[in-house]
Amino acid sequence: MNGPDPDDLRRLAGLDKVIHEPGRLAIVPYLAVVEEAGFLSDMWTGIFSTIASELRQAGMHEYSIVSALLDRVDDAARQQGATAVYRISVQIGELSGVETGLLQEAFSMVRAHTVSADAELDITAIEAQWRCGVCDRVVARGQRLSCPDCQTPARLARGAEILLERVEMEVP
Amino acid sequence: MCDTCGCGDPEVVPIEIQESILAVNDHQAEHNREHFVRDEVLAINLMGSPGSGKTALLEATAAALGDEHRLAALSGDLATDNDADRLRVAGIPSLSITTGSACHLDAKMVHHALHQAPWETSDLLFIENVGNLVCPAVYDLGQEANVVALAVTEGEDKPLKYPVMFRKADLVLLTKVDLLPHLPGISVERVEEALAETMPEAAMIPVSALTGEGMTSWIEWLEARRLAAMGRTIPAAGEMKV
Repeated sequence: MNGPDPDDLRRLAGLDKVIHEPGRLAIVPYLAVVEEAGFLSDMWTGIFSTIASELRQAGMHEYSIVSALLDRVDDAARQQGATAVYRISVQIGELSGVETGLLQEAFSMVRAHTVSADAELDITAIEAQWRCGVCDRVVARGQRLSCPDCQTPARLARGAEILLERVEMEVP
Repeated sequence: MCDTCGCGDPEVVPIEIQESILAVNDHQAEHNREHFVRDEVLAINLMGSPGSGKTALLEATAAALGDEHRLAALSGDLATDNDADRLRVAGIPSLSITTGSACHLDAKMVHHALHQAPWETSDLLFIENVGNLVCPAVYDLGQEANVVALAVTEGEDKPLKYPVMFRKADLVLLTKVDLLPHLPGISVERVEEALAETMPEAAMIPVSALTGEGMTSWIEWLEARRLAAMGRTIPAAGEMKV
């Protein structure tokens, strides 16, 4: 890993006022145009960890979710003695409260300096489906959430998932 | 190692996990819930937009309950102690959880606050979440019920715009109904219709902290929940509702 991916930085710049603090903002476009910034690496590491920890706390909970995800993947990698993680597969339900786009953005930012630094985040979006709690009949979208036949309140059969399915890792 | 050609390539191993990404929070929430059950405290997670009237509602609740029950509150706030200060003035022992820039409370923040607040001797603990209709819905805190404050000024279609929040609500308090005479475009029926499409067991009480309208129904709801909770078993973690 020779430093941050310029695309990640460009995406980030549009995100949030946390990274628009003048000092941080100045360094982001610089790093986006240079191939390497070895002399800056210590400074970058410090700034990076500040940004990452603030982003984790900041306006979007997707950062705290990515943080929890990376911790869990790190545990799994350690248990297996893995040296790198290639792919992390997750399921995100439509009514889970997690935005898949923001999750992907947060992942690309926070994964650096972890065992998942080069990993791909594979997100399966799960469409919400409500069903009758008794007769299991599907309750259509945009209608009252009770069974048209027996009036039983509907239950969310799927669409609430915030699930880590599997991790593909390199084991020497 | 790759056994077919001996090239020395490392092996790619898929490991099945199939676990909630929020498992750590869920575990902590379950622990909080055990505390609440053991000490027979009804914990309510009160959510809603900034300015929806959460703090005013709790002030009015304290006034309406009088000495009938012992109350306590934890107030999630980005930067100030203002809400907890107001609640203390209203007679509710309260503690702020200052979240900095965090947009929601999580189970660990609540647990930390529980160790500093005199909540065990209360009958009702209100956890006033950070004003936000998105993020707080994602995190189980260990509460018995979710109550969402929705002000009449916010618009009738709020439940449709924030279905994640409203699907998890056990009760919606339609606040500031004293303003309805000045809002000819707002229909309470349309709010109810929007709730029916997002909340499987839609329950709404129109209230006004100013005039006291609806406060009796709200207090009856709390008392029914409290009595029902006395004989409860601990629900599974992770899903507050459903």
